Order: sequence, then C-alpha cells, then structure tokens
Amino acid sequence: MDKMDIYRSADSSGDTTDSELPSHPGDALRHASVFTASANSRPAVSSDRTDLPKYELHFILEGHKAGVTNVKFSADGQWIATSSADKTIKIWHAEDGEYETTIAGHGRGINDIVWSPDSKVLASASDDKTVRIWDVMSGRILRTLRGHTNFAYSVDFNPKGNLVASGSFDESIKIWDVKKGICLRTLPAHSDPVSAVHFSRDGTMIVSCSHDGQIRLWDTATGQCLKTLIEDNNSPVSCVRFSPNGKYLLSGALDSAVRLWDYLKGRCVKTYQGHKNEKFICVSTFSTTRGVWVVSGSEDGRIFFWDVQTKGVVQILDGHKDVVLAVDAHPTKNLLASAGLDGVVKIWIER
Amino acid sequence: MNLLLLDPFALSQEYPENLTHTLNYGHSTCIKFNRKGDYLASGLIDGTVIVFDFETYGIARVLRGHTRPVQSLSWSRDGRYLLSSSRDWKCILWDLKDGSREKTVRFESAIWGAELHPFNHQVFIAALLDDAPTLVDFSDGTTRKHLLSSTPLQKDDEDEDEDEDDDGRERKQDKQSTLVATFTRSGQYIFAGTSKGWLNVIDSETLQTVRSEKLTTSNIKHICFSISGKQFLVNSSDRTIRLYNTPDLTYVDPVDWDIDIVHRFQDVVNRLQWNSVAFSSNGDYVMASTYQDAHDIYIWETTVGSLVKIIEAPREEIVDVQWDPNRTLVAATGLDNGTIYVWATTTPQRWSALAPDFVEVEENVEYEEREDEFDIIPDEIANKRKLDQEDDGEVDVVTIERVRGEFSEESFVIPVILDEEEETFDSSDSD
Repeated sequence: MDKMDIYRSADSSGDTTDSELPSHPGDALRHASVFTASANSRPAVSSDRTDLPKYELHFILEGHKAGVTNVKFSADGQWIATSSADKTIKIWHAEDGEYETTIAGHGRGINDIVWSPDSKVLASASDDKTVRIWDVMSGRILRTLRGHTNFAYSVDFNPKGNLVASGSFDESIKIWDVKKGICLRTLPAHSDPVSAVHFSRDGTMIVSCSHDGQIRLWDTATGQCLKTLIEDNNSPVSCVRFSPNGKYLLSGALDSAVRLWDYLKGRCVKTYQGHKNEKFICVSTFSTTRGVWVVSGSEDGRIFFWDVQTKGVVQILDGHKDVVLAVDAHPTKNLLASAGLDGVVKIWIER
Repeated sequence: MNLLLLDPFALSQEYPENLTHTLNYGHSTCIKFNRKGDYLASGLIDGTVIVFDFETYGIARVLRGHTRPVQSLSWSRDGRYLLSSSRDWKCILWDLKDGSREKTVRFESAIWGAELHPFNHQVFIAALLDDAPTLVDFSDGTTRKHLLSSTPLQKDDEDEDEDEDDDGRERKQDKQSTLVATFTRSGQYIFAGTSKGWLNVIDSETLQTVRSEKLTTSNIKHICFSISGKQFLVNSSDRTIRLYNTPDLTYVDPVDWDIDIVHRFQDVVNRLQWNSVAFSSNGDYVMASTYQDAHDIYIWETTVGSLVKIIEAPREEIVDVQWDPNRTLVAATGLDNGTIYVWATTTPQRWSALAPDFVEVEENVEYEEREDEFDIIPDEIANKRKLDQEDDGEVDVVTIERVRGEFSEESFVIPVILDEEEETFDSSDSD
C-alpha cells in the first residue's frame, strides 16, 4: 500500500495553496465583475451582497498517480470517492480528509464513479470496457458488467439502487440489473461517444449527452427516447445532470458554456460563461446547501461559481495546477470537492 | 416525472394488449402488487413467498416460513410489511427491510384469507374455515384476537334482545360462515361476505355488525374495493360478478346506507365461474379470470358495463389476477405450473422525440422558408441574440413539485443485497 501524503489542513501546506487564491471575498468579486460584464453584458454582482459563496481551501487529498477523473461525496455525506486514470478508486473520510482505502481491479483508467443510494456500494466505468460494482469497505468486486464494446465512459445508479445505467464510447447506453449483473436493455443512444448519463430523482427518466451535441431524455421502463435537445452550434456536450428537483437539466459543452435547460419547453433558459472548457470533460454540478450555485471546473485550473438566477460569476477558486475535471458538492454541509488532471483532490469549505 | 413527456396516446391505452413477460419461480398460487406497483409478491405452493422487483423482473426477497401453500398476501400501506396466510394455519407478517418475521399468528383452523388494516400494519383481519372471522391486533405488544360475528344483523327489533335464548339465531350462525373479509379504504369498517350470500359490515372499532345485506343466495367468494374505494366488486358462486357503489361510509348512518348495484357481469352463453376479480388502476375497468377450460381474462368497462377485451392466457387456467395500481399492466398466475404471466401495453417510439425540430403531422405540410433561414450571421451576434432570448425569470432548481397523476407517496424500497449468493431461477422475456 502506498504511503499517503495527506495534508490534513490547508495551513500546513503553504506551497500548494496557490498564491492567486482570493484571500477574501472581495477579490473574488473583482474577478466576478470582469466576467459577468464580458459574458452577458449584465450589471456585475453587487459587492454588498452578503449571501455570496465564500469557499476556502480545507483539505488536499494526494495519492493518485495520474489525473483524477471524478470525485463524489457519498449520499450519507460520510465518504469521498475519487476515480483516477491510474486504474484505482480511493476512499476518504469527508469529515477530516483521512485516507481510508484504495480499490483496485480495473485493467485501465477509470472514467466515472457513482455511489449507490445506501452509500455502501460504488459503481465505476473504465477504459477496460467494463462497469464494476464494488463493496466499498472490503474493496471486493461484487459484479462485473461486461457488454460495452468500447470504453465505458459514464455510470449512474437509479435512486432505488437496483439499476445502473452506463454510457460508452461505443455510442450506446446500457441499463443493467445490479442484482443479477446482466444487461436489461441497450439503447442505441447517440452517434458519438456518450459522455454522461444521469437518472432523474424518481428514476423514471435517464438523461444522456454525447459528443454529437445532443442531450436526450429516455424512459427507464421502456427505453424509448422522450426528448432531444440540441444547441445550435452543435458543440460536443461533455456532461449533463438533472437539477435537484428534476425540472431542469444542467449541461456542459465544449464551447465553454454551462447551460440550464427547461426540457419540457425544450429550450435553454440560462447560459453560464466565463470559464474555459474546450477539450476536457469538466463535470459541473449544483451547490444547494447555502444559496443555489452552479459550480464547474475550468481548463485553466480554476473553479467557477455562478448565481443560478443572474448568471453572474460569484466566486472563483484558484485551485489546481492543471485542468479541473470534476467538482461535487456535499449533500448537506457547505463542502465542495474538486478533482484535477494534476492528480490532486481538494476539499473546499464555507465556514 | 416522465409523465409530461410521454405520448398522451400511449397513456390513454387503458387495458393491456400483449404478453410481455413470464416469471417462473416455483409454482405461484396467489400474487399481490404493493401500492406503488413496483413490487409484486407471489405466494408459492411450497409456502415460500417471493417478492419480485417489477423494474428488473428480478427477485427482491425470498421469504421462507410457511410449510403449506400460501393462501393470501397483503401489503402494508408503505410497502415495508407483507402479510401472508397459508394452509398451514399460520399468518406471518414479514419485514421486507431484512426479510425477517415481524409476527407469526397461529389459528385453530384453516385460513381463507387475511388482510392488513390499510393504515396500521399491526392489525389484520382473517377469514377462517368453519370459524368466526378474527380481527388480530398486536399494536400494543400483546396479540389480541377478536372474534367477529358471521351472523347477519336482523333488521327487526327482536335482534336487540338477548341472544342466548334465541335458538333460531344460533342455528343460523351454525349454517353460515364468513368466507371473505376486507377493510374499507379508511379501515373504519370491515366488509365480510358469507357462505349464504350475506354482506356483513362490521365496525372495526366496536367490532359490532352495523349493517347486513343479502346480495345473493350462494357463496360470496371475494370482495374487492377499487383503489379510490368508491366501488366494490362481489364475486359469488352463482357465476355473477356484482359491482356496487360504496355508500357514504363517513357521514351517513350504516342503517341508511344505499348499497346500489351498478352492474352484473356474467358470461350468459358459457355460464362461466369466475376464479378471481380485480379493478383496473383507475377503477374504470373490471377484470376476472375464468374457471376451468376457457383460459381467459375478461375485461369489462364499468360505466356501461360492456365487455371490452378478452385476454387469452397461454395453455393454462388462470387463478389469481392483479392489476398494477399505477400502470396499464396485468399479472396473473396459472393453475397448472404456477407461472406468472404479465400483460402490458407496448408503445412505439415517437419519432418527434428524436430531434427538437421534428413534429408529428397527420398529413403533408408545405414548408415555408423563413426570411432569414439561410442568412449568415457572425457567431458573436448569434450568441448574443441567443443569450438575449433567454429567460430572465427566476428558475427554481430545488423545490420539488408534484405532477398530477404521479405516485407521490413515500414508498419503501427493499434494500438491494449484492453480497449473498442467491438461488438460481428462470425469468424469460417473451417480448
């Protein structure tokens, strides 16, 4: 087992804390004004707002030997799981950033991980074309889901924990019965790699997106396509997820824009801009524990927070030395995790 | 949540057309859906109870405790507890969280069937062979069995007199036994059917018979309420299924209830007996499985009472039929080998869903080119226009709104256990 270098708190790691990190919220706001003005010619967020996010560095989790592709808090908020191109998954305590265990078994790099609703099981999608189900505490493989003919790219559990959906480079989505470990249905979903899949709150729908520029909604029970959304410039869509209430979709595209869609009306209602995202899959998310923010990493190593309503940038964290590939918000606490191509995971806190 | 995007024509298909699945796991004798319709419990001839997950058509739980065929099943409101009764004279209440036995109640005679109180899973009613129907209450830790009367209430005043000396009455009681007992939707009353065709309404608090009505002259085999509770069905041995409007149970005195018959369903040509009856999820249809040679399920519509569909079952006689409470899906068990058959609707893919600018049209529409359709607009201007078109209104991404027609109650989810080796079983898709 590797010896882990874990910085238990940001203070003990002065050299890794980027000097450009805004020292107080005012600095972030200056960045914010610049970007809001350029992005959509809207008045800058007024600096007297006291409800803006004020995240600061909490922990640095080091140990992965290659880029960290995704980071996820467990549903019960106790654990952090990180997946990496170094073929491993690492589990950390969300409370104190303590390293817990490493799960290995995939033959190639891991693209995506997801926690089961009961926080005891993880599913991972890998370049070795398999989706695997792991028992977190023992690190044992419970199921290996074989069937994709190319890299498995994304994976999600349904809210009941009995189904897993996976999207692949082979342009299909597969719906798996977790218990039996068999594929129930293959959806000929897209005409390019499927970059993300996500179940709705009640599990009746799956949303998927692809490099072909489309976002599609699927009926879980019948496997039929219910709706297709396309952005006019057809830029590859790299991530998509339902809003917490399931009424909207949040998508990230490689034209450096994060979009909020009203899928019933079939149109984009908000565009969040300012970050750089042209090449990598940068997973964006909602932060709803205090205020409602859209959060996304950027290819310049920063993390952007937008106000959902005004589309203005409300905070920028200078987080990583390389592309920020994924961000995730804690289900109940004001915590944010970010994962970078530099192999580092950072936990941010708002006190 | 998918309701708003589904094809309204697909949703308007009100009864199932195609056999979509067959489930083989032991010889099933009775089946029951939970309130949400995502699990189906199946009682086997060897006493095992299987809970199927109807999303994967896999097995969610295997419950072993009975030694003889399972006679009836009943789910608690939240779907966590399941009551099974068996020919081994036992009723078992199962906790589906871990598959453990919450309660086992033994009786002194065979059980026709047992049903849980709709709001309290620690109270149930059992109809017993040659014995009084029994209300079992263990909500305060001790198991109390309350014997209920099978004797119809006499409308005359003499009924108010003391019973002991009334020989005629006692003789009547000997002759009559309760074959079926079911709770009303609120759980306030128990509707019990007797071997002489009487419907007895028993108050579940005072345990007194508050109303009796002679519905037929032969056995009442089954009483079943619609999901809304507004109507109920009575299946009797006289080859007729009777549909009644439920009287106003809350505000009208039992003596003044009008128990109106709405329809009589029967096959006048073949004179068939009906094995089992059930309402559709919306209560607009009634279905029944046929006894002996005709392997059919008849579906009638309830407003006019016309026969709308006969589902032909493959090869064997159908014993128990159940309609999924939230979908157009029917499950039924076969008599000979106990296979569970599932009929559902199959909807074709809507092509308009595959691209945002596709529209389904009835006939050809001449396309009119927009004035600016082929204009070349610089990207920056196009982007700016697009952003200007965006909604400036508030978007709420957090608050959960309930859509009409959606099952919105909290329903228990049976934990998925991946860590133990399960027995092998067969479940084949025939679609």
